Amino acid sequence: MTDFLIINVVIPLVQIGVLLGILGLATGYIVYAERKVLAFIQSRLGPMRVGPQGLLQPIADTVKLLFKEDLIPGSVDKPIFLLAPVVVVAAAFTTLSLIPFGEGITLLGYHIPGVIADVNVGLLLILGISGLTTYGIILGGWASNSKYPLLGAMRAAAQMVSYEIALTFSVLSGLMVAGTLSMVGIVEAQQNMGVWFVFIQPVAWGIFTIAMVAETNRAPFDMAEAESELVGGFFTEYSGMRWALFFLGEYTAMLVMAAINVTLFWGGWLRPFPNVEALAFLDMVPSGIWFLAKVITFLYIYIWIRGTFPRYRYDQLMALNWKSLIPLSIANLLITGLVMILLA
Amino acid sequence: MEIYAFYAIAAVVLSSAVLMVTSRHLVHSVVYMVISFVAVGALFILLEAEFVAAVQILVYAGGIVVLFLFVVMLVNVSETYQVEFLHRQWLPATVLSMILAAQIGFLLWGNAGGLAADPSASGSVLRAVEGGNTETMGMTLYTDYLLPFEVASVLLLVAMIGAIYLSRKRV
Amino acid sequence: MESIPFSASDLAALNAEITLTIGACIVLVWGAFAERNNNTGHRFAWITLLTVFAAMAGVTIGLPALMSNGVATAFAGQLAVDGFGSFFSALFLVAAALAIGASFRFLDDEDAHAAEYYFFMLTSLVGMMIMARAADLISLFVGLELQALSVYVLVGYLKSDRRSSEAGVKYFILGGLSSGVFVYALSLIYAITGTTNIEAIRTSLNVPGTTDNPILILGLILLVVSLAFKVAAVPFHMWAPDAYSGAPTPVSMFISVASKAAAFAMMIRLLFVAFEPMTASWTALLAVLSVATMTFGNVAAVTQDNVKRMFAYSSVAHAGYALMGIVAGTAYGVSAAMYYLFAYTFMNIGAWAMIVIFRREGMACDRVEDFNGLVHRSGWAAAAMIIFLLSLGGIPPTIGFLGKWYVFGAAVEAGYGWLAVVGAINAAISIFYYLRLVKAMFVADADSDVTLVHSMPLNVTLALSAVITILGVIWATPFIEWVQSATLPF
Repeated sequence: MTDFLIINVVIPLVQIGVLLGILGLATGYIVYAERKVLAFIQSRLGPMRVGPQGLLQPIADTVKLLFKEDLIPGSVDKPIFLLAPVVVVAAAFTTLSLIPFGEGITLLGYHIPGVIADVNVGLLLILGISGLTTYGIILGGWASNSKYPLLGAMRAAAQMVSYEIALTFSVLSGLMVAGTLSMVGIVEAQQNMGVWFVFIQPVAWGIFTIAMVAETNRAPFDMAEAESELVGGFFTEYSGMRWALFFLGEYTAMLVMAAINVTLFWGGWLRPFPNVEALAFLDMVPSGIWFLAKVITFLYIYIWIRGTFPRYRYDQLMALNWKSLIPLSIANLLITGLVMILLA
Repeated sequence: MEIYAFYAIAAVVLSSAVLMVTSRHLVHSVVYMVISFVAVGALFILLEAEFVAAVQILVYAGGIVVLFLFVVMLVNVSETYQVEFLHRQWLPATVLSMILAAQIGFLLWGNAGGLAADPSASGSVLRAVEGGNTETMGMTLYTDYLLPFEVASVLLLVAMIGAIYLSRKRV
Repeated sequence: MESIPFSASDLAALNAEITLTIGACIVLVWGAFAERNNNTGHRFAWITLLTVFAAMAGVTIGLPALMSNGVATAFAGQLAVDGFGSFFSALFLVAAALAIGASFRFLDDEDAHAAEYYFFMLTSLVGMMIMARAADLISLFVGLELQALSVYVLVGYLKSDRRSSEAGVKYFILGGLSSGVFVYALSLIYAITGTTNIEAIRTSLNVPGTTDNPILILGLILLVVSLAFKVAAVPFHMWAPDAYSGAPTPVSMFISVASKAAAFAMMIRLLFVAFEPMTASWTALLAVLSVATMTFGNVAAVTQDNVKRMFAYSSVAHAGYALMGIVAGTAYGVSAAMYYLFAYTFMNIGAWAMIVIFRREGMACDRVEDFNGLVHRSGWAAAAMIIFLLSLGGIPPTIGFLGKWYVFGAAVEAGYGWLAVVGAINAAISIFYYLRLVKAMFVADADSDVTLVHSMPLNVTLALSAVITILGVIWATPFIEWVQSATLPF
């Protein structure tokens, strides 16, 4: 009975606690990293004032946001206005529980898995729940009862729904190779086959990476907030902690997408070249570190893209998806199926 | 344990469904609809049908209702244009539907004993399988239920072309 | 790797549906890229007609060959391969071919897109054929919805015409509601029997005690309600007059015949196979529906000045006559209902096709006065119309008379003599309003604003319908034998 309690209640609770604790801090530092990297790309210094090299800046920001006045404009649809940021954050955090961060460790005789919930349809569930983020954005934009947020919300809705198609199709190509929907199973499949799926499915990876940037509403696909056109997009009317929740949701979603990318295409927690015996010494590094290193690389790529590419025009954004990415991803899916049948 | 979870989730499904119908505001209705759909997804998880649950959330809650919301926001029905709900017929409508509901409820209540004891006994029905039933589901769908699956694809094509044809401005 | 989940005989059993789907896709894709001018529309009509003929060959030659090889079901028991399904498939295809004949010129005159029109017609045919042939509730429902969705669009096809749009929306909403009732009924039936296979439901209902279950009875009642809705039986007919009179006339003729026949096919298979152990329960329900349908349909038709509405109510009434054969609850009754639907196909399409001919100042027109003086303008058209009206009224020597004779006989034989009497009274009422049109054609003077718009394909439709309406009586035996052999699986 105690074993049951520990395995099914205590361990997950501890995992959730640790994850949430780290995440608040991590999001702050992703923002910090973003500001720093962008600054370097643009030959600036970025935040420097609070702490050495501005390292305490995220904490100062958090404190500031927490104590800001919680402004609710008079004409908003109050319940939905309050609900929207919560939806965004809840959806992002829920998906996080399905991502395997490592092989897991054994502590006090109990095996602690590297994932909170290893659901056997994990990947589908992640895609489904992260799809719910759209609601937060649309509802937030709509409930604000103001023109810019509404325009931003409409753009976001159309964009996210459209790119979800390309995203899902490219994921399917990877899944066909893996033969499972479980996030842990996908990594294990790459371990057994001795190859990261990016080398088998480069096209799917490319599509996924583009769609993932669009799905998280990041530059150059940040039509939803496009500061220069829409003031602040769907969260124009939000301030203080609610605004911060949207922010938290966005960065968590980035993290989740990067984690899916790593899990599905870059071997998850596996070391590079898992089939080459000579590199076995790399296993000395804990699996979680490999995973985090890969995720951080992708987060860097996000920022890099933002610093390098100009924003897409809205019709170009849609044309890119419907006329290039979706047909390409469907073709890729069909070819994958054909090759698998021929090789079988 | 499971039965309590069922009652809790079913309560969410039903109450949000009722609220969806009774809401004065279209956007609120859609929000209740999402809640109802997500809760139905939870019911599927309770039945150990993880795949269906994930698809329910991915397709219905995540995809279709977003488009609902999109349309509702585009159409932007203002209060002044709203037609009175069940114009002057609400009383007979209520009475009749109450009678119907009572009859159906009376027939269903307490007669569950006659349900087929094990639906899986006849025909190929999915059972919870070790390691998930996604594969079993896929196999059944593409063998026993291949015909309806293919006809459904034509159905979706028709629905799509029909919607495009009817909503296109130029005749 | 697993083997392919279907065999050559499965595909052969589905050959007509596959042909139609391929034809539909060709029309759709070509239509998307073709330049639009006066002649392109006819191109799609010809492709569609060709597809329908190919499918007809598949149904009349391919399927019997398959049956003689002992194939009874296909696709893991989802599709029945039997004479019953082939009979109805052939009926739908004939109705479609005749309706296409009436559509050629009509679409030109209405300046409507042709490609999508024929696409939806072909897909609705696929749906109807699946409805008539499905041996499993799931396939049945998917086929029903395919048929229904295609038809909703066809009814609302003329977007610039308010009546057409209104009819489309009404049909869509009420049709969606009835589909909901249908699925609910199926779910209750599944809850009791634990299977979706139609044969297996019968087996499970044959277990003593099962049929007393209130949930099952509720399921049966809801099933009958939704089926009554689909065949437009009173009091579930409200959508039919609006949908039939608002729809483009060739669509009205097509759905008042083919969709109705498809619903009857579905009804017969569900009631006579799955619910065969409960025959006594549903015959009582249907007898009431039949009387209400005949009486209300005919009485309402008497008061109409609009020909399309008149024929819409008349087609409601005809559903009542066909129901009579089903009420009989015997194989003889089924074959009578099937023969009635066969006869109804030709006479009703012919009558509707006559409405297509009339145009007032270039617009479609459908008032009784528009028929004024027809006999002086076109003797042939008037003659054809009289044949159709006589047949609809059940007056010899037409197949309409034979059909009524057959269903009344089945009702009497099964002990429903009073139903036959009601039917006969109704036939007398119907002659009253059919004669109004005859009177207009002969007695009054023609209105010069009304022009007759002939075209070769429309004339072929009219001629074929008229010829079969008459010749069907002279050479009645092969048709009746065909119907009876198609009834055999029960």
